[in-house]
Amino acid sequence: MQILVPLINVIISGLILGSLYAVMSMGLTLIYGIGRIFNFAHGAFILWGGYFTWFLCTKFHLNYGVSVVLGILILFPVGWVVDRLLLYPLRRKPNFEINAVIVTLGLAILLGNAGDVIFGTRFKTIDQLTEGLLRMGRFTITHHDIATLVITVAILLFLELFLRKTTLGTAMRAISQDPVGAKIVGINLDRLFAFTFALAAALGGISGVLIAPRFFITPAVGWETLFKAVIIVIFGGLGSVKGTLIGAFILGMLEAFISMYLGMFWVSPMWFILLIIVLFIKPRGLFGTWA
Amino acid sequence: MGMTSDNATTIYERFLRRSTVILVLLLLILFPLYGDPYYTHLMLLSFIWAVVASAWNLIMGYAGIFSFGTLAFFAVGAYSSSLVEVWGGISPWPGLLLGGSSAALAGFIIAFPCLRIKGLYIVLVTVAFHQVIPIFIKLGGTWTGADVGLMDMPHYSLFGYDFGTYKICYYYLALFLFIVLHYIIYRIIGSNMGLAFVALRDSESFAESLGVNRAKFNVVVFVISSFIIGMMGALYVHYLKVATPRILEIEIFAGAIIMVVLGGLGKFPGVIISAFMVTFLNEFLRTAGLIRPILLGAIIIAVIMLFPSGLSGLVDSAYRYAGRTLHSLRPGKM
Amino acid sequence: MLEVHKINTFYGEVHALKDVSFTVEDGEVVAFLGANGHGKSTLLKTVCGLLPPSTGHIEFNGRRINHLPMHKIVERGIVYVPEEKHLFPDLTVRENLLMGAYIARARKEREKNCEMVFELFPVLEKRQNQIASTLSGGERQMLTIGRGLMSSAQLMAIDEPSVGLAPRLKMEVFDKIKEINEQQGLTIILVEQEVESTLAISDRGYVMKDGRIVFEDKSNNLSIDVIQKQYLA
Repeated sequence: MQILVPLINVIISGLILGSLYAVMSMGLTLIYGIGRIFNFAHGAFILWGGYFTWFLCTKFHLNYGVSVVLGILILFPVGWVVDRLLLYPLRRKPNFEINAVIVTLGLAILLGNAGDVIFGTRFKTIDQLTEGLLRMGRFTITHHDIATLVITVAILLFLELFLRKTTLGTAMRAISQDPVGAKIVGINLDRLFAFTFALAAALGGISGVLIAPRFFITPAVGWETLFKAVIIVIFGGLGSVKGTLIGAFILGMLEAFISMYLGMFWVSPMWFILLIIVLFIKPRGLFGTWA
Repeated sequence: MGMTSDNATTIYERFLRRSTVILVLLLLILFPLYGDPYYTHLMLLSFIWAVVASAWNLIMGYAGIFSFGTLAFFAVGAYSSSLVEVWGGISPWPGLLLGGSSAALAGFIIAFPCLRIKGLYIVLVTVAFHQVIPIFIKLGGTWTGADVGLMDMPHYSLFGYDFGTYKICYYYLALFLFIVLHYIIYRIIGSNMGLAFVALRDSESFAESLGVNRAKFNVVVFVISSFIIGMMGALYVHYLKVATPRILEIEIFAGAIIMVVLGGLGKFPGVIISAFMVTFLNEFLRTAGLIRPILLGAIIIAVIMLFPSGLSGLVDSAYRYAGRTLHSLRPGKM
Repeated sequence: MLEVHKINTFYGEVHALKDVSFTVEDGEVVAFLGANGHGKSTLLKTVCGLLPPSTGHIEFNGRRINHLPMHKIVERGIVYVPEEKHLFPDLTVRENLLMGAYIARARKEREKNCEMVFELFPVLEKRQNQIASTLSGGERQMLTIGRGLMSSAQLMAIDEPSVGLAPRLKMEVFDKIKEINEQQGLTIILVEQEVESTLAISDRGYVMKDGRIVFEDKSNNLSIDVIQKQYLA
């Protein structure tokens, strides 16, 4: 019984981390799977989810929950505009893939540091959604963690239903499988690319909001989350929603275990080692379809 | 008439190009003798970054290998030469070559996983490599100087002149390498190897069916470009007299990417010009502080959106125009 | 219904269509015949919006369409059934069909169209929950045509439907195309290399060579000999 309690705590941590990472990485996968590009600015969207929340909470004293909703509402159109302004004109020109990587890199650098300029460089923190712990026998979880788990699982379920059952979601899957076929059935690809980007920005923003209470909000967060999202997405297979989901949970669980049994210090190296292993041994990841 | 109008303008163009190059080289050689030391310093940095950008353009623009983490080789060259000199007692000139060689070795190793993957994955592998290096540097503690930096590298010296004291020697060393390495890159592009790169980039299966060995060429281009960049890294930190992980920071990375992209991927003279432009711009923006990275980001976006073929496109057009003008001005025309 | 005026299309540097002009009337089946590489597929791609023409214009029901993006052309009522099929490999047969009815006009009649397609191609109904990549060649061809039918189009452009199919299936495909034309009044442009069967189901035929239309006549008057003569001329 002695080993069981901490073990279950770790598993619960792992689940929470996993679902959080899943939401965090999903946008990257969607943009790659459907838009066929790598969005370097993905971390910036996550970071700005944090910035918006902080801003709304601190300056307007809004409820954390309301901030979550507002964050989504703001970031969705931001993503749409970014696609229309930056990516749409480049799609028509040659070398689109590499140009898209570079332009999103520029955007990432710009957005990454804009926060410091706009909001100042003092450390920013956000309080948790709710205080309090839940005790069940010998297990404890914070209320915040439960809320996080509930929210992320709800988002993931919603996403799954959206992609499988709705026409729009199916159209997105169709584009990822055969873009010419999508044109043939009359799908307006430009509009859907914008939608996908907007959705990815919103997902990134939500995950930023959820992650925010754990960290100081600094530009570095943007790069660190991007890095983790990249590893998760490659591990699961670029462009595969299923792969990202599974990869996120595996890696979240792994991080929880290593954090508990080896110590926080080993978490960063773990991610790097994982990346090197995946890229050298099986670059396509678990379910990857594109080379 | 023996010549077509096009032939004639090309001759003028070539003449103009060659004379411009010679003129510029003369100016560069004379510059530090009369110029302000501050600007000499900037020119020196520009030489180094121009070579780095050109080598980066070689692998990314010419060979079409999207290596975003190329700067990592800069750090490898910088640190390996410094470490070997500080702890191993090797003198700096062989240290310079060693820097290049270890970077070349790293390039050789990285080339292999990149063979099996394409496009985007290569971006990720190389960026991962770029991200890993600072971790190792920091883990190195006092051996590598960690965040503080590794110092006390021995100075280069030639004919009794210690470069550390006579900084102008660094300028001429950098200029020398600038000329020599660019000449090498230029010859590579013009050679069969260069043709092979372009063929592989534009039409891989066809090139392979003609017997071009993609694996061999990819590895070769990795090794060559990383050797050059590693050597520049070694020179850089010897000049600055300290090697820190900051050479891999986002701002330096952004600057380098701007150089390559602004110059025009796969085309040459533009990269050199943009290296100078970015180095000087970066310096003038130093006072901007926090705004600088934002401006860099905005510049990257603007460059890609507005100049897809970079400065090289503009340079080419300029020479063409000048050539045609000269042609129409020639004496005795009908 | 469809008027094509002197279009020129380029594939990069290659001049694939040279001053091509023709018309198609309501309810017709018009065939384009000729050897591979002479512009037949490019012609369909240009009409359907996949490849814009450099010069010339195309009018459908009196309105110009040559500058429109493909999704708008589908909305106007022209649907493309390509030789490469471009099915969605990881979607089910049913999902592929539903995607065919993506545009607003077709979405309203989705269920009705689906039933119609299943009646025409019972095998698709049988396999409706199977992933498209598991279908056989003939079934895929049927699915491609079926998906095209889902868009409630007025004009369907079909590119080499019989290629790669066994003779019996080839016959079936041609029969079905004729059936669709007769029962629903769907106008059809058909590009093919199977001359005899194509002429049997079409009203008129055009012969293409080197990116140009070199001959046209009613199908009754055309035959393999006539076409071959054009190529030897």
